[in-house]
Amino acid sequence: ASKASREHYASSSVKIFRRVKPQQKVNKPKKPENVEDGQTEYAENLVKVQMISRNLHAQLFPQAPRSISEQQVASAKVYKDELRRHGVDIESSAPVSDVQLKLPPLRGANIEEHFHNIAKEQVQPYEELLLPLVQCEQLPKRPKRWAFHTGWTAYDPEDGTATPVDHPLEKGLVFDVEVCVSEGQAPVLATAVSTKRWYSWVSPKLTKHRLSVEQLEPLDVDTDSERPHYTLTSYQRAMLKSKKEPAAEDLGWLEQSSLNSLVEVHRLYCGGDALSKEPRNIFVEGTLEQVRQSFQSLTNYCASDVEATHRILRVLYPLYAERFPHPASLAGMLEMGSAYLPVNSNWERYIREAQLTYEDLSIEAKYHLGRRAEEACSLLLDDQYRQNLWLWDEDWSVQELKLKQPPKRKPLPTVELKDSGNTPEERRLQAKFQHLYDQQALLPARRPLLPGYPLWYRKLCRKPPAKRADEILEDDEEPWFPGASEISTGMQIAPKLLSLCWEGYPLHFEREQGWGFLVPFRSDSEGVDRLPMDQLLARCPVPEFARLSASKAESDMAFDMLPGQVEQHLGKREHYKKLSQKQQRLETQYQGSGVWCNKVLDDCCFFLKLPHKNGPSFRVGNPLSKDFLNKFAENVLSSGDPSCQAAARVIDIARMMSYWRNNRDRIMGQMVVWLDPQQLPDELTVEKSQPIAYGAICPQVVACGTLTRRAMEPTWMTASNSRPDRLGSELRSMVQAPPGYRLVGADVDSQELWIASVLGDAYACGEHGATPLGWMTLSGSKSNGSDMHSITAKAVGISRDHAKVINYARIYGAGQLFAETLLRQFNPTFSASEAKAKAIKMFSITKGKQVYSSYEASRLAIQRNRTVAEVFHRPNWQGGTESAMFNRLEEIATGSQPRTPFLGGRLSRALEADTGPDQEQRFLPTRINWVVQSGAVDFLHLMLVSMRWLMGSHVRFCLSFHDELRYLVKEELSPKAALAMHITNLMTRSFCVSRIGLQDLPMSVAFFSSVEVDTVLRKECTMDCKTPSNPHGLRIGYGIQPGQSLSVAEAIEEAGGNDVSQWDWIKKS
Amino acid sequence: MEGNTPSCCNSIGHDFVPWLLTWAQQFRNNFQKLVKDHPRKAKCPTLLKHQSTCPAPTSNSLFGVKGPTLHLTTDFLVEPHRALEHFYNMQRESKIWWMRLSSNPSRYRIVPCDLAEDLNPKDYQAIDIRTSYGDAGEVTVEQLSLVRVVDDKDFRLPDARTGETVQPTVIRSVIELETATCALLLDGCDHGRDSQSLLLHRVLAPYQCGIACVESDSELSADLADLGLHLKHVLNHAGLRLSEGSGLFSTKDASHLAEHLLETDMLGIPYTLVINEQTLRNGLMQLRSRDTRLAETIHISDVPDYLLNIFKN
Repeated sequence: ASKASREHYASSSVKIFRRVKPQQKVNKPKKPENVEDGQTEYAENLVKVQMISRNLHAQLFPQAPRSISEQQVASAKVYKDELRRHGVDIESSAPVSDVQLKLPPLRGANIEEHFHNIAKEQVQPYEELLLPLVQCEQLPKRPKRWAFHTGWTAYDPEDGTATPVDHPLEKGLVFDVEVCVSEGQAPVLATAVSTKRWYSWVSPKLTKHRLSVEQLEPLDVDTDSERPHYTLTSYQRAMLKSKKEPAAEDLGWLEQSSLNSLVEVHRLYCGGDALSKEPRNIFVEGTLEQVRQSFQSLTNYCASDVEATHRILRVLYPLYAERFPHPASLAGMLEMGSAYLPVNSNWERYIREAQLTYEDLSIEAKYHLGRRAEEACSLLLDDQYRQNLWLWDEDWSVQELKLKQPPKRKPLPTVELKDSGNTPEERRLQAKFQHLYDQQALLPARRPLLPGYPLWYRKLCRKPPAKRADEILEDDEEPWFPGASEISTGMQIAPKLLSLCWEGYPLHFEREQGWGFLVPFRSDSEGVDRLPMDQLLARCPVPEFARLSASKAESDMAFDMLPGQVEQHLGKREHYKKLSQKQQRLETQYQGSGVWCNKVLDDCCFFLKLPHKNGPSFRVGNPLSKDFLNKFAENVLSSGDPSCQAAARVIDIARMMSYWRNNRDRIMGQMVVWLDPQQLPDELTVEKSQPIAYGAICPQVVACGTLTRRAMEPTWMTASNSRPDRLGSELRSMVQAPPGYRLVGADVDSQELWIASVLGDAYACGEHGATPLGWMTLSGSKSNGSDMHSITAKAVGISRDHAKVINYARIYGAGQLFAETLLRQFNPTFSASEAKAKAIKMFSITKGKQVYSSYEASRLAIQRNRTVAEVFHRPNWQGGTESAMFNRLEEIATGSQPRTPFLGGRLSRALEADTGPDQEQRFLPTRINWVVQSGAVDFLHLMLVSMRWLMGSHVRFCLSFHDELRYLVKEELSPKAALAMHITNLMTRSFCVSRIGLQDLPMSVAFFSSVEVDTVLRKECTMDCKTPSNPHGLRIGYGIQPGQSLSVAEAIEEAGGNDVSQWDWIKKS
Repeated sequence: MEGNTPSCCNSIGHDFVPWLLTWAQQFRNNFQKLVKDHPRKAKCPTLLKHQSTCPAPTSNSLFGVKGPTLHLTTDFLVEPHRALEHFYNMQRESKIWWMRLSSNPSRYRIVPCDLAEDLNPKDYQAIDIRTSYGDAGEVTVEQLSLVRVVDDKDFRLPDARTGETVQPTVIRSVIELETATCALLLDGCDHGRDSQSLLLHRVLAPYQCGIACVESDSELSADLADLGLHLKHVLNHAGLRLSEGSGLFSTKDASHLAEHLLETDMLGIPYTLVINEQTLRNGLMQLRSRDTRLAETIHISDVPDYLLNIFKN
């Protein structure tokens, strides 16, 4: 309430005074009558946002009964006016049904205490193990000699006596494992230390004892990637890697940062001599035998890494505890590190089918290209290739087959023919032409390949086998067949054979510039020697921009007409200089996406490079690569030969294959731990005729792998959704719950948008939905056009989908220029000025305007000989739907010690170090992004804690991708787990709003829109995941039925009622 | 195994289910024959092939085959727990087989057949392999179906790996030979090239090779004819199918040769050996290809091995 009484938009330049209209009573949706004890459950706040049902509020915010002061009513009028000004109709939202739930009692006086207490409880067992290690100043003495025994060995701290043990005797260990890369991914040896003694572990593989099947699975990710709390921006990472002399403004953060290797981290936190990583090479390059031979020194190396890790832990943990004070952060991280993906025999089938489909498709593409190549050969006849827009610059030279001079005196040796014919006539003719066969001896020792064929084609062919067809052994590698057998889509010839065009101009390859295209600037072909100018002009007339420039300056025209003379009269450099000036003019007029590179061919056309995603200085090596495939859909890249269906098909194939090609190594490299059939429960082994294997993948999650502490993992976290044109994209659905289990999970609905908007709401108004962005996020709907994206789209005049992308880009920190680029990318018809105008409009509607410009401010400050910060406050955003949000985000982001809004986690020291007044703007977009994303990470950690509290050991954490959470649970408990997910959402959001000073929660965000109860890990439980490698879909191809999608009401129903406090394990605790 | 009982599993819509339930007599006979005559081969997985005449050919939108037609039926008897996997593999392999013979491999596709709702897709599935000719229409060239046999004690085989007796699942492939042949012929014509070549795959071409003599000096023409004849002997001997038409082609005129080659292209003859006077001196000749329309110089001592390599499947 105190916040609500603040003056809102104090310095707003827009103040609207008008009479508040009498409230409209007509068309008001009927509020659901959910009456209990004579009280209705329905509640709404001052700006008509529906709030959580009364019973829920009473349970979650017991300390803050709902009440409205007169002051609040007064300020509500201001909010409503502002909302109306931005086109928000607060009467437009329809109420949703109330929810009645009996939650387990909070652990503490309020929701904040509750989460603190349950998280503390959850991390306590770990802290009990961790703290003694952190406090341990002196580790036990390392044994002098390591025992070469399979399995675990414990060492007496006094005399180093080795004793075999089943497992380490203590639970708190610092350990390191070593993998012999050439032998697979399983470790071959390990060392560990507790506060009491040292241990070593040796794989049976290393001692050659094959009796034990014991395998050590790393309990956590490998040591080089597990230290999380000092992440960097990509710029910083690049700087650290480059070893360049740092610039002065970089020194601040450089003192606080390192790259993520043990050596670097140790240097940063412990200093001293650099760690030696020399012995590691044996693990990376050597064989098991070499590891065996150097066993003592390698185990010592491993142990010294353990010691180094311990030294780091001693420094790092207190730092961590100080900077991340809330126990939910550690609890969440521990959970994140325990990801577990159940798989079965279908995993192998998936890989097999994806690989086979991939091979089939590449054969098909190859076949098409081969056919095109054969067809193109005939262009050699009458030099037709000179008129071909794509193949004119290939090497069409032809080789002859010539016989050597016969020896003067000696006759040629007689060639023995196996078969001289059946009839006398046949034998006669055989004898007659025997002398021709004898000339075999005159053939060159190295026979030219395909004499008579052009060189480019010959390069695509293989030499036929020397042996006769029937003599070739079956196991000879690849069978030979005639034609362009070596062709592939990756070759330089492929785009030419497919007659590809960019923006309608034929593609052309230049060694230095890579792929580009030809744009004519002359409308005649006189004097053009090699290039098929007539054909080019017939296909693409000189474009307007090039024509204009030519006619405008007649001297240029004349200049172009006399290329020979020009070269004689001008030095080469001047010639180019002149062209370059001309080009400069042209560049401003050319509207396409090609890149000028100051290159003119045959004095008749420009060569423009294809745009590379990394910028104009890069050369495009293959237009059939992933980055360009979408351009075909946009028709920017197309085949210039409409009769060539092959081009369209080859492009389709390339598109289908790209996902698998880019991901298969990671996917096939997943380490599946298959369960021993004897370990399986009986019900899974009864049906012997169906030997299904069961196993699991432990994804190598780096719990806080990024600057914003989001988790990182290369395969699963970036897994694409299943798409019909992406081979292998059914990946996620191949994570399959074992029989009797379900995967339960949900996506947090527009998580980051809500976090950003609620920060603005709380800060500016102290009321949910009181800022335009807040209201649109909570109550706007796509169906009646009142959500954020629809409103922006309407205001600017673009499609909702495009508005959505740009809206998110802005919230992630992108500026007006970026929006401009996106607009033009989406709408190629927009002119530059049109796109600019739209971007400006969009920004002034949404982000608003700054009170003063920073340029103006620094000018004034300099006049007074002061710094900007001394003279001015930070400039405020005003008048936009999102101004409040940006003001809040910038306030947090520019603070000297930025903290996440929910759990109070600090920003990486690498970025925190840079807070001088001049540095403020330097990493601002990154820091703003950090506030929202890191807030989302807090949100996730809180959810993990809440789920654990509600479900205890009845759920197993599977995986989380940013805003998605999945658990494995027994089938009969799956409805309860689904309900627990809904409640987790409710409680987590309640905690978050409480932390930023709000004591209520809107109904629209209180629960997940749905929780999926499914047998496989697909995005939505009804997706059939048809892909080229899964053409029959999951239901028919794999016999997998659709799952269930439960709303909170359905979950309550399925879970057997709304009294959660009566669940067995909750009652007991 | 030969038989004449019509097997009616081809039109999946109506006849599929009866075939499943009543078990075509043909199949039963074949199965019993397998168990009786080839007990060592009667293990799962195995296969039965038979040809039969079907009075009513299937219809397609492109052409009609006047019945009766020949059906090539292959029944694969596979382990039930791996049946789906086998079935999908077989679909893939069959499709690839057709694709390899095509002038445009992308014209083939697998089309699942709609089966009655009450058939469990685990037990019954059927697909067509269809080839499409642009807007003109489609032809089904092969039909594959999977049937998990209901409990039938006369129909059991030992599993080749475990020895355990199992009820095999049947995967049936049916190819209507006349239709398939026409489809392949159409495929050779429908290629979108300027030339009117018949692009039959080289292993399918009725004539694999032709011989053309280019004379310029009449004194040598007899020798050249002899050389042509000799090459004919050699190629025939090697088992290559030689186009002869009205004897060996011979001309003095280069444009006449071009016309002749155009004609052989339209007949779908993949290669023509072109010999001339130079060949009589040094044994060098041209091997002209229908697909590239270019000629490669080879030596007489390369004949017939080089050609055999080319035509080896």
